[in-house]
Amino acid sequence: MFGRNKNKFNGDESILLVDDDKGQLDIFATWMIAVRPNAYIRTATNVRQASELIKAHLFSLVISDYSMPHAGAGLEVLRAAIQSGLSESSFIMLSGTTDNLPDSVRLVSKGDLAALELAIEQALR
Amino acid sequence: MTDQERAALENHAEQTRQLEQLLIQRQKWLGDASHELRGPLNAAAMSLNVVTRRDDLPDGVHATLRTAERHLLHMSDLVRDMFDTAKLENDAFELSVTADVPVYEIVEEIAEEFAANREVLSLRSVPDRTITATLDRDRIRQVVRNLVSNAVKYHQADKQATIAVLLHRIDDACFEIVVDDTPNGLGMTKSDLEALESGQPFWRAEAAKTVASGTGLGIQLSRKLVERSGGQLRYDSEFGSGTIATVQLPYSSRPDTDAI
Repeated sequence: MFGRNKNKFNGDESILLVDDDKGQLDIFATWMIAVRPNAYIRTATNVRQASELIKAHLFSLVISDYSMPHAGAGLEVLRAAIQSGLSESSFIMLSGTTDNLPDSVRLVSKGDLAALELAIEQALR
Repeated sequence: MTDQERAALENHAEQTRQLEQLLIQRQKWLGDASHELRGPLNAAAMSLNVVTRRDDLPDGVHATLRTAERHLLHMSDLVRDMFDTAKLENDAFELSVTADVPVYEIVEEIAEEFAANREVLSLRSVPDRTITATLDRDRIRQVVRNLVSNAVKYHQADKQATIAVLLHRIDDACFEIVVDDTPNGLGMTKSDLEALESGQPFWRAEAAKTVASGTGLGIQLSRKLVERSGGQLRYDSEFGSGTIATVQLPYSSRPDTDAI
């Protein structure tokens, strides 16, 4: 678990990061704290864990890997997010390219930090 | 039909099934391998990015770490381009076409992404906001991003990049996305343009090699992606002035398998 203001969770900016590689996910969370120092960051390493967090909490933004490990697992996280009331524009999918992704979901290539930072800024405006 | 003919037909059907399975496996492998190779590169780049955000680093350290970060991201892009090229050449590539894509959003997103780059003096986007098309949004974004990225990188040594990204209608069937880096662009000679048109992967103009790192894969990949979408990518260029890259696309992209 990361973040500086636990008590602000459900109130202010809260971001869920989903990736099946724990090491890369921890680095992602550290990067996210550098980019959004006041956000409350939570992480999940699989679809089930992400779905449970999404059901239990209100997130401002969900960022998920597309392949976890099979291609398309990120779509299951997206479905859970939409079912819980999150708008598609508050979801960012990390992948080079995908099938069956709604137009309103932002797609960012996993290594493209500048594009990711811009997408986060746009989603949280 | 004789028993022998029936057996031959069944044998042929089985071979076809096995070939189809192999193609599916190859497509999956190309996708998985790209994902697995890029993951650690991206994580390392992200770690460096966290450090380079600090403003208390000595200048030399900051510059060195930024260079390392750029190299990692460059390698990640290279892996992606190599696997995309392999997928295209092995016919293991499918467009994911969506209807009614607002093309101006792609143009504006890319323009916004590069506008704050320190190499850029001005980046102006002039999109016709009425244009929507049936196309693979992510792949066309990849193409426009590649063209703008090249325009940002390859400018004259003593100048910053001046870039215009235009989107306009040609007729009822087609529209154009134009990336124009004149007059501060590096530009290409006539022989450069001829070599570019030959379609050799890894080819780069000699002048470009002295300005920025690159592989030459992106420029050929962009052409193939546009052709796959039923369009054309052409370059008008003058050495010492710049390049105008024009992507002409139909409103409805029909994958063109003959383009590979």
